[in-house]
Order: sequence, then C-alpha cells, then structure tokens
Amino acid sequence: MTRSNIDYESIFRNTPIAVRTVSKDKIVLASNKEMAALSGVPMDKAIGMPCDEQFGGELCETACPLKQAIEGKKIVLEAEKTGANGSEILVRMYASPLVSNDGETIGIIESYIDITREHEDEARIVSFQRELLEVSTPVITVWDGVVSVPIMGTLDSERTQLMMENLLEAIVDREAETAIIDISGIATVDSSVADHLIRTAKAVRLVGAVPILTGINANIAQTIARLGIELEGLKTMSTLRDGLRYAISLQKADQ
Amino acid sequence: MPPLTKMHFADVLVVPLQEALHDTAAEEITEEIISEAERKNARGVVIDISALDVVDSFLGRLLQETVRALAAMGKKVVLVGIQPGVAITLVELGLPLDGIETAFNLESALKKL
Repeated sequence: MTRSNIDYESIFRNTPIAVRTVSKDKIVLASNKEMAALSGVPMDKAIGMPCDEQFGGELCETACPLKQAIEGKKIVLEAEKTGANGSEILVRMYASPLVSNDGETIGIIESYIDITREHEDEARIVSFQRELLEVSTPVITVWDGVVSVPIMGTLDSERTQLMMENLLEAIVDREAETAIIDISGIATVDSSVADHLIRTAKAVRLVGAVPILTGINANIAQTIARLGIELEGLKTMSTLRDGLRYAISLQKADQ
Repeated sequence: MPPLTKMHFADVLVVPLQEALHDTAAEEITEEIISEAERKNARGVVIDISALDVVDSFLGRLLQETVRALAAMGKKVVLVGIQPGVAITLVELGLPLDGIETAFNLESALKKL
C-alpha cells in the first residue's frame, strides 16, 4: 500500500464528521455523507448550491466566517443552523482554507459537529446542580418566630449566597425574630467558611432577626480557637436544642 | 423630590424613606431627619427603608453616618424593613452597620425602643 493508491475522495466521503468545501463565491463544491445527513441535502444535489441554502443559519447573514477563513485565520465557533427537516440545531464549526493543486486558495473547508444534545445535557446539569443546591439549604420554621437552616457538607461562596438569600427571604416572609444556623452537618470549618457564616449572620441581623449559630462540636470549636477565628459577637451554641431554647427565652424576655 | 413623611408616636420619630433616592436627595433627607429629631427632642428614631430595593455604597454609608449622628445625640435608632437584597449588598460592601438596631416591621421596632 503506497500513498498514491489511496482513494482520497473516499476519505472525504466517509469521514464520520460532516465536511463540505465552499468556493470563494459561497457555492458548495463538495459535501460528504455526514454533511448530507446533517443538512438533509443529498451529496450530489448539494454541489453548486449556495452554501447558506444547503446549510445556513443566522450566522450566514450576520457574521459569515468565509473571508477570515480564506485569510488563514483559524475558525472555531458555535452557531445555530437549520438542520435536516427544518429543525434548529446547534453546531460547532471549524473552517480552514481550501487550496487547489497549484497552491491557490480557492475557498474553504468547513467541518461541523452537532452539539445540540451536548448543549442540552450541559444545561440540564446546570439546572440539576441549582436544584440540588436549593434543596440542600431548606429553611425550616422550628418554632413560632424561629427559623432554622441546617447546613450539610461543605459551604462554599455559591452555597453561602444561596443559603443567605433563602434564609433572609424566609425571615422577612415569616416575620421570624430568630434565625438558627445549624452547622452540625459540616465536617470542618476553615477561615473562609467562618467568614461566610459571619457574613450570613450580619445580613440576618440587618433584616431584623437575631442570628444564632449552633452545632459547634468539639472538633470545630478547637479549629475555631486554633485559627483564631473571631465570631464577632455571634451567639454560638453546641446543639440545635440549646439554640432553640435560647431563641424561646429571648421571646419570653420580650413579652 | 416628594416631601419627607415624618410621624411622631409619643417621643418617637418615624421616617419612611421613599424608593429611588438620588444622592443629593438622600443627603437632604438625612439632614432633615437629624434636625427634626433635634427639634422635637425625640427619644428614639425609626427609619423605615422597606421601600428601598437596592442600595449603593453612597446610600449605605449615608445611612451609617445618619445613625451614628443620631446615636451621638443620644437618640436610640432602629432601622426597619431592610430587604434581603439590601442586607446582602450592605454586607458585601463591608457596611454591616455594626451596633445598629434593626427590626423587620414597625411594631417590633417600637418594641425595641
């Protein structure tokens, strides 16, 4: 087998990625099997067609990459296109110069990968993550005027933000006088987690409720002491039960 | 700028702030609050900001200054109705209004005075 007896045409035809060649004046020169499947235009019919008629989309009118690709600029972009049977699909497109036998650039080579599914999956994952976050910070009314938020796992800034929003909304909606933030479910506390907790407590105080931090076990207490974390006047207690008892005593003192 | 509403309950001055305060309006209002508290010799001042959906650093600092000025005059001050978004902004801005009494409604504010 030598280089010369390879049918290069067949490589083009059978490549498992949609490929087509387009002339400088935007006419399709050739297109392969995958391209036919993606666009819905048979291979032989595509030849001689305007490129945006075979496989076009909004991009063709607004930002046709042909000129840049001819100049040799590397083109990789994502675009919406009209696929077979008129459906909207999202593709990743690659474009590079098409060179004739005499070394002259006569058009471009375009390759397309259908990423519609991939994109949908990504969006779904993001929405799942968001949902998971939502359910991981429930705000529970544990007593008249007392709300509690148990925190499990790790507390990063994104979760803190969401927890803060949920908690503050709940305080305002339910007119809670006390908010218990329970961290018994947190494995370790470092200075950034402590900082998140302090910020939450400050925000709680601003909307008019008293923040109480509970669930500080011996391990966490030692860490707090060792790191020299200052909990700045935040009421802390070891168990949720103690916190609730304290919250109720505050209410009684008020009456 | 609409005229500032000033209500007196016994010796407590209650001032609800309107939404969308411009910088100059906000400055004028805080001056008015302070002088009103002085004139009527109010024991306590309640500033209701529940109508404010957003605050910026200017307004946040101005609130802090107003409360401090009133405290310096020996008035007890309670900020009422800080919206969740506003609370988060204030904390993010590093203006947690330390030492300031807050309440979520007028009733509990008056109780705190």
